[in-house]
Amino acid sequence: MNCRGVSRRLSAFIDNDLSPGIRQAVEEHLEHCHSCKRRLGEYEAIVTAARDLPSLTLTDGFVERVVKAINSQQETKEVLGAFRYRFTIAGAAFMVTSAAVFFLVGPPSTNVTSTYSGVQDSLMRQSQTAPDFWAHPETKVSSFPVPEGAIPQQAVDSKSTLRNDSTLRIEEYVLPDYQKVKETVDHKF
Amino acid sequence: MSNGTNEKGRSRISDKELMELIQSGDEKSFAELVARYQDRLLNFVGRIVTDQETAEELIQETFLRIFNQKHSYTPEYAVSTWIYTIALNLARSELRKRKLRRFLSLDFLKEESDVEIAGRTGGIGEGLAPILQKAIDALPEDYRTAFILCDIQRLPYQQIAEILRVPVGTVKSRINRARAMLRDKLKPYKEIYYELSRGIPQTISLY
Ligand SMILES: [Zn+2]
Repeated sequence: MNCRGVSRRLSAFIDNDLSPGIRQAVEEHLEHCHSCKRRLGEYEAIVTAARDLPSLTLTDGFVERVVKAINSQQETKEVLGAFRYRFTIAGAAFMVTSAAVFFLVGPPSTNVTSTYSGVQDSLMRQSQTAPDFWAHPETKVSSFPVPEGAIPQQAVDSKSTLRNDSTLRIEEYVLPDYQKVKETVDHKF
Repeated sequence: MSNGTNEKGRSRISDKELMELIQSGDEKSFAELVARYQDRLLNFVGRIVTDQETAEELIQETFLRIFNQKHSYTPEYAVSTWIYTIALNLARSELRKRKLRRFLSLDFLKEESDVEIAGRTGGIGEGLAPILQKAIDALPEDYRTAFILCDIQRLPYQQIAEILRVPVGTVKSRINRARAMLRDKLKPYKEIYYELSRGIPQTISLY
């Protein structure tokens, strides 16, 4: 084996990653070639020095910071959970009332499916004509048939957007947003 | 294994068993995992991003991800492989962000500043260590990562291949290239490491 062949195998030689035959050929060459032997010495020195590089050490309190980060992340999850829960309640209440409106008033003759303002109008009409229902919305819930298209598309959309957003925040780096989210939640409810 | 593992038992069990406990919600096992990996990760990530503060932030983020994604771990890989992969992804995205920042701020037109990293004292390589560290920092990212995993973290080729998601042959050639590049970079300091390689304690200080 010539110097070129030996030189490109030195790395594998150090790592003991050569087949016995090739290893022997390299060893034989090294016995009489001063230049390759020196090169091997340089490689070995680098590997040894890398292994002996002084270890970096963490600043004090690292574990505590990790634990704290995880705890406040958990709290944020709870806050977001409560936020979603409340929103779901609010959304459900809204759907129930809008559905109730249709039950009491009947679906408008015009196209219902996409008109949020149509629903709002009905709600306003209903709030004037059926005060009993608003006082006890829960009474009409259980066996109530929801007419097709009674749930305003916009309400469904905004709800799903919020849910995606919250999930995203949990999975991403939540911590810096925690206080902000908490404030928003406290402010809104 | 149940959640009732005591401290002594916990420190003796394998990484995989520890991971099982973490997946079942055992918080003390998670603390044990942090203790097992924090230094290894610092010496891995710290040498990729070459800045202690950023490295600690990234390791904290690594542990948060481990905690949040504990159920995505499957025992077909070593726990360490999974952890190194998460840490490496974070370190790489940090490097990409830096590159972009440098580009946007036109800093790339300036000479790259020397970045110092804490904790470089003591040991036989006192003279060589700072020079070697700088030379490692200056390697292209692919070669640097392979070199760190092989020669500093002392991982086998196969595991490095799994972490980097490249064939073993690629790992070998990157390590070979990295060592050759380091040798070239260290040429001006040849006497020092040549003496080192022969086990002669050297006293020359370059700083
Ligand atoms: Zn030769």
